[in-house]
Amino acid sequence: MGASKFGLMALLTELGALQAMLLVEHADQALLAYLAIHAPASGLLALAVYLLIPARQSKPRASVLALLFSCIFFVPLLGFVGVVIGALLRHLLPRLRAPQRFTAVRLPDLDTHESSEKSSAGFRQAGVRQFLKNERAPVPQRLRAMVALSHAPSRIGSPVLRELLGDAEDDLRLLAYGLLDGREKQLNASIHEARQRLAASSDVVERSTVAHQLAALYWELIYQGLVQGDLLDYAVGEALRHTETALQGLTDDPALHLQHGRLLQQLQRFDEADAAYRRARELGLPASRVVPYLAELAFARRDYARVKTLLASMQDWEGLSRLQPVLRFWGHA
Amino acid sequence: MTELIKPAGVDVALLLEGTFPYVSGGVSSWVNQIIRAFPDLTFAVVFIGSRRSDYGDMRYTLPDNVKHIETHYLHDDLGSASAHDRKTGMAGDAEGFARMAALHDTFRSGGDALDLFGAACREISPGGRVSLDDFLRSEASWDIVTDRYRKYCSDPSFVDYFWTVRIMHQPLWQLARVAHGLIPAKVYHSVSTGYAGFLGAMLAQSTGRPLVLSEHGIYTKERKIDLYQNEWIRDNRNVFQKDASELSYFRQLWIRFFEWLGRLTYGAADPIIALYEINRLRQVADGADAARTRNIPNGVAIQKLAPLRAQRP
Repeated sequence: MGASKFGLMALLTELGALQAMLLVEHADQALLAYLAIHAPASGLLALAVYLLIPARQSKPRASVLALLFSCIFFVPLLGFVGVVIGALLRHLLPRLRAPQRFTAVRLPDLDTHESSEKSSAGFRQAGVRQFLKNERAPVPQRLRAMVALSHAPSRIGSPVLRELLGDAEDDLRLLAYGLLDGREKQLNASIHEARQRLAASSDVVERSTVAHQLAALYWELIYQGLVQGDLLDYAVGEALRHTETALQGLTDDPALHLQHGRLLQQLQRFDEADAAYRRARELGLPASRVVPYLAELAFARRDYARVKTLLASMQDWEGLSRLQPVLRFWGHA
Repeated sequence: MTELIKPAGVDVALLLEGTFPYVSGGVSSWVNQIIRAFPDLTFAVVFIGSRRSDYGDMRYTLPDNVKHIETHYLHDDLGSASAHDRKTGMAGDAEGFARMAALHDTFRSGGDALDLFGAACREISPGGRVSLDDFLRSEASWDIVTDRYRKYCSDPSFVDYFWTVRIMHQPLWQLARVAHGLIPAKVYHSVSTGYAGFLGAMLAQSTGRPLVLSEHGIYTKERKIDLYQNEWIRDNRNVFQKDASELSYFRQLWIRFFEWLGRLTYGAADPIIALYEINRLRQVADGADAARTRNIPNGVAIQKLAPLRAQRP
């Protein structure tokens, strides 16, 4: 029930009390009758005023109610009117409230360090490669595209960077060279370090492990497209030499046999490559890792029927997403 | 700093960054040749390097007409002032720093910063209103750095921002000291923009003497390519904030820094010389006044190569 209803009821009850006092003739009885009705009226008004008091000033409830009740009950009429005027003033003059010492602040934005210079030049639609090769595109944008490309895996990025070595624009040419050179240097530093470890070790197992790492590093140079021409031949030769060294100690390492096969295939020694792949499979390497290479080998030998058979055995493997187009092609062929 | 002797003055002060006489190469031998080609002129050589340990002994015997040489290593002194030196109550010159902030605002807006730059040179020179100590430790400096971090930095790390700004600007005070203490010269000649060019710009501002700039490569461009692929510049953006095509903020900051060193050098230099037209156009694109630029091609003795012409397929 709202404060106004309590107030109205209090007023009516109080009027009733006054009327009772006037109607009863005997003075003592009149006073008693007045007080008997004045008490509930005071209680109702106390409740009405209490409801108007802001929550933070209305505690403790019993004391505040008792104070209000006392003012109204023990100061007849004047107390009643006084409390009502007080409550009204409290509402009509809100500016009399004490000044607030604390103000509400807006929460800061979620992240103030979001980039402020986002450009509209996204490369998602156009494709970085086309954008980079477009000599009419502004150089700063092309440089940014190249920066984006530098985050891509080296295997994908390197061929594009190599194409840009002949670009008419100085900046692009130099940056492309710098990026390629940086990658090559990094691998060469690892190779240099591994070679020193190989030279220093005499234990067969340790030598095999280091040789395995060396072969993998040379293979990285080849795989990432960082070496070409004579350097490519050299890298393949070194990778093969170290793989064979590693195989002396780690005869039953299936991954090493797979790598051996890939190098032999690169050198077009197909029969040996075939044997190496089969050995890897025998040693427990899953078919999903070996069969694609066997199929590639069959393709290189122009044995297309075998490619089809091999790939048919892979049709059910959903996991190999990058192979899917190849599988689809040979499935329909 | 090493010096031969301190003459009263020289004809030409060469401002050389990372080249003659401590590094051999194309630019160095060109400098060597030009000094020897003018025996009637006296030269001073101001060598600016990164760290003493990066260079060995001199690669050239100094010609007799080099009357003065001094070497300065910008990165050797970066850590010389201890961060733990207790300095209390350094308020710093708020007005001086406000001017620096105004200069940086002009850099941002791409306006004409040369007048403000002249004033800033005076402020950071010995006896100016904004000393290195003020920059490193005063409250006014802290206020500017924190304020600009909040306004502009798109990298989340304040610590990295703070140290990047410090390390980036500290050499400028050192260069101001070099400019202040250098013996008088009739003309200053820098063979690159960058720190040496900036030193030249400061000298030209303070002495009113001409600054000649002859660029063999384009320093700003080479720096930029270097900065694009540098591994040591931090990028603290997380996977959601990162845009692969956008350079990290600190990389951009460094690139802009060197772009402005170049721009200020071009602003003070006359003439501005390139080796060929493409480079001259590049200088103009980087802020050089086209009217002051010119080409002096590198000569090639073609007689030796002439027989090859007949052998062309």
